Amino acid sequence: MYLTKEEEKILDGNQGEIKAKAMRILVSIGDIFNADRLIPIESTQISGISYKTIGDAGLEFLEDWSKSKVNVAVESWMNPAGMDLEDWEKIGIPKDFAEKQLRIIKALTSMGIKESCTCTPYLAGLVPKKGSHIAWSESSAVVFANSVLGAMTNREGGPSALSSALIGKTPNYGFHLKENRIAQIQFEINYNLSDFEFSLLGYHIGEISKNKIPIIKGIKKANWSQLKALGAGSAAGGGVAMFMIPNITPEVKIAEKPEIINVSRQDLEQIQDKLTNGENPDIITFGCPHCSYEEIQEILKKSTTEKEIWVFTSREIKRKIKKIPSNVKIFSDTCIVVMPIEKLGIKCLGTDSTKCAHYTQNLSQLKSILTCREDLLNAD
Amino acid sequence: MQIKGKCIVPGNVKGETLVSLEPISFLGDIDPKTGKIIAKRHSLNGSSIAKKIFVFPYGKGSTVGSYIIYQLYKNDVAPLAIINQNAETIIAVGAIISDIPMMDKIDIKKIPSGVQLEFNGEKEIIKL
Repeated sequence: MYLTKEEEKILDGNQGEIKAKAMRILVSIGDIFNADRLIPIESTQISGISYKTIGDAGLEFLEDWSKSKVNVAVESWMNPAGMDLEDWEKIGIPKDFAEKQLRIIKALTSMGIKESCTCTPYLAGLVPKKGSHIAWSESSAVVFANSVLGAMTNREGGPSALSSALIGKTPNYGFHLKENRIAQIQFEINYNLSDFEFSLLGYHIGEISKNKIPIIKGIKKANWSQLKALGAGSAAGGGVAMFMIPNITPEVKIAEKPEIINVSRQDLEQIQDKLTNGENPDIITFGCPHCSYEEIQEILKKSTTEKEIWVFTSREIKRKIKKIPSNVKIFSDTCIVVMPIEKLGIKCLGTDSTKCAHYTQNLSQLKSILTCREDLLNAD
Repeated sequence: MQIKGKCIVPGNVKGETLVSLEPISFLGDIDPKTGKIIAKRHSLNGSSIAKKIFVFPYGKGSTVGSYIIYQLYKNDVAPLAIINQNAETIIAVGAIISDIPMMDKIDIKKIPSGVQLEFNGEKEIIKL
């Protein structure tokens, strides 16, 4: 991989040991993926923020790097943390967990990373332009940025996104190359999808596409909320980093002979069955990915259930919500997947998100019930 | 015997090999406090990778694995060097942030376990 004289100097240590390591990480990844050079980026989204996920190992690493007083070179936001940073005590997060989580946040912000703590930065003010190069982690944000916004990013990990943030560059491979942004697998639908079915479809497509780019034919219209759910499902069900929908996504490019697959309603119902393994939810949860303001308004308006409802969103949006019924809790800065919910006595949750159901069952060993928003809001 | 590889993290070290023919997920397979292999079904369960030249085909599992490698380094029980068949990002990043010499593109089936090996990152060769 070609490096400029300045990049070589950073690799040799003339901007300090940590930046040399960050550069070596980028060069290494570039070599693994046959990148020709590094390219500048406009923003990063950094994962590996929750103490539940990265533990003492990650905390040590981040504190060590922050001690060297390095600073990010581009606008950098972060993924959700393991707790609501303001209301953690009210939920019952253990004190030792909270203390370490706050240390992680401090290490990150001291390097200039914004305390955004959301998986939907594009709903909180970070909206990359079409064609812009970025280095984002968080699988659902990556797929939204590539597909809906037409920005260009690979699926970064925590340390690679942080390295890109410090250097301001990323290796030029994968989704940064126009010639790689071609759909190889074509899904066909001939019925109208409900909101919930967008999430089911996403997961189904993800499982089949794995890490290919899928194109979906037969969707006449879709709003950001539906596309957000579709993308999140596809990134969780498989390794999808980008999808295309004619007349909806800014990029539509199909390979000469794509594999063609029909999707029936039964296919979607099977996903729902697969991701449901519980019966009585302790809580109903929304916000995987984080809810938009409009989604929260709809939840508050239509809810008739007396079950406890937990809603996850960004801090900007949480601050806008005024009237909340007593059985509803709105959390910012965190999400059900990276929170230590086992420590809070939750054994089974109800969700309308395939991503949430998938991770709940695999990561937390909790049970989940996957069904549409209406059923959850009317649960008795 | 000399084998040529590709250097990922430079360094020149000599030590005893520990070879796993199965891929390794540092998160879950290795105890960051002791360097012992704790993976339940692994043939090397109970062996320590500390100060060894740790040879395995590639890394797998969570990206937190990079941080587990870092903890091994902080606890002074990290391997002396890492040799992979085909590197992927979790192990490469772990080796980089922990200053552990690393090479890949080496046919690990040619490396016996428990023998002395000379790792030369600059020349990109290993000598048995």
